[in-house]
Amino acid sequence: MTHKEFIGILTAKTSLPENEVVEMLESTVNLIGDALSQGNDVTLQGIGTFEAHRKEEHIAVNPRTKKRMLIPPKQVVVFKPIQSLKDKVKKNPRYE
Amino acid sequence: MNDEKQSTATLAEALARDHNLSKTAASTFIKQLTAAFAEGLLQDGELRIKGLGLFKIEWVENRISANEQNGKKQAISGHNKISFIPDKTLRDKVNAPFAHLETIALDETEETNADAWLDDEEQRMKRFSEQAQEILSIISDLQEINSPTIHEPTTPSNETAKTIDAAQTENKPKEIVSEVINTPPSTDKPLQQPSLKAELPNETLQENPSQPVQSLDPKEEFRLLERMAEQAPKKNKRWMAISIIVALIVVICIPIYYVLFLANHSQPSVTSATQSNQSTTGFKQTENPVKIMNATTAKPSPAAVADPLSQPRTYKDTLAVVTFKEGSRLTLLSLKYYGNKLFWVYIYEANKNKITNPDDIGAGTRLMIPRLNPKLIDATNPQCLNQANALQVKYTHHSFPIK
Repeated sequence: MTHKEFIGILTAKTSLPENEVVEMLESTVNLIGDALSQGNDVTLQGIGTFEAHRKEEHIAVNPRTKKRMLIPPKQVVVFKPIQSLKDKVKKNPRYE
Repeated sequence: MNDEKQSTATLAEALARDHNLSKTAASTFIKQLTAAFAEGLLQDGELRIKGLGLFKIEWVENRISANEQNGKKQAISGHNKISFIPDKTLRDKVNAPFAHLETIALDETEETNADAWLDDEEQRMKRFSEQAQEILSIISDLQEINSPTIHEPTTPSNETAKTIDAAQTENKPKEIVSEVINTPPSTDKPLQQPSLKAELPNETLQENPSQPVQSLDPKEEFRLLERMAEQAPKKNKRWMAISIIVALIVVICIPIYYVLFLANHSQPSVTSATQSNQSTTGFKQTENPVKIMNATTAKPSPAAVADPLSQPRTYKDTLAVVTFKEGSRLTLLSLKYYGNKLFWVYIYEANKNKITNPDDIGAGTRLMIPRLNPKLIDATNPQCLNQANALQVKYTHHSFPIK
């Protein structure tokens, strides 16, 4: 499902004008991103949690050139769906 | 960094502030958002939200996992899971505090080391080339010293020398001889000679005066030739001696090799090998020893070949005692103890009283692994393999006729 289709569903649910929905969604996403960039986790009820995971610096070796590189620390987003959503997905027939 | 969990409520508050909405309206929007999210994801199995990322339902295959606490294996059946790939915008935003950091290559020190090593190598090569030049100069010096004492150019030494040297040495003696014949031996004469061969002719002329003048006739040349002829055979004799030693070593080593490693080979191969020895050692002096060696090697080898295979096998020495477990196989035991699966027949023979059916041995049976003659279980020897195979056919055939 694409972004547009998702907005379609959301407008139908909220009975709000589409441009407003788009703005609201955008700001929600921005708020989530801001919270994550500060290292905070964001929980959305009924979906799950977006977590900011810090990855420590480490030494990696390029297998081809055998060059050793010091990879700096970084922060990445991890999404953990709630158990009920996981179960729903599990029970579904095989996708693809 | 404050590790707080931002709940839906705080998110709704912030959203209400941004859009001048009531809190309830914002929270209902978020509720509907989550509902739409679940619906959309389950409907298509894939959901993309701009600025957030791609959510996707993926299939995970069946797999076997181990319990972390007790290590017991458990099967995990195939199932779907939700995967999330964040958009680049979100990724960059989240990584913003660390964005200024860059990867650092750590190999600078090692590179310099590699360069130093290369330099070393170059220096070594330089040293080698210098040494080679020194050696060359020494050789040429030696040849210059040698050439006058021999009186005539010796072909073997000149072949190796540089062409210039050869030309000089060839020219000089002729001139010397001609000059000496023309003029009676005198110390004044050499000084008048051209400066080109100032040193070398001195030596020759100091030697020449001791000899009578007539001796410089062709007769003298004959004698020199004779000396040459005598020197040449000496070299030949040396070569002969070296070659004889080498031939002897070869002749001794090959039979030892055959006896030790290929003793169980069939006799024809041994004889053919010794015949090839004879052909390779073409020296008359070495032929007799070769024959003797052949005689000595040919006799013990058939006995060695015949012994371990033809003798009745007795299993007295035990290598190990093994308790047969579920999943054990005689062939695997054989592979473990003897290095080849085929030799399981000997374990079976040793434990015949305990085993009724070699393909079905009860768990808990204690089996004796016999210590066998290494020549009997030589996996490199086809004869051993053949015999084991024959025994295998015999035992499996007796108990179960082939289906």
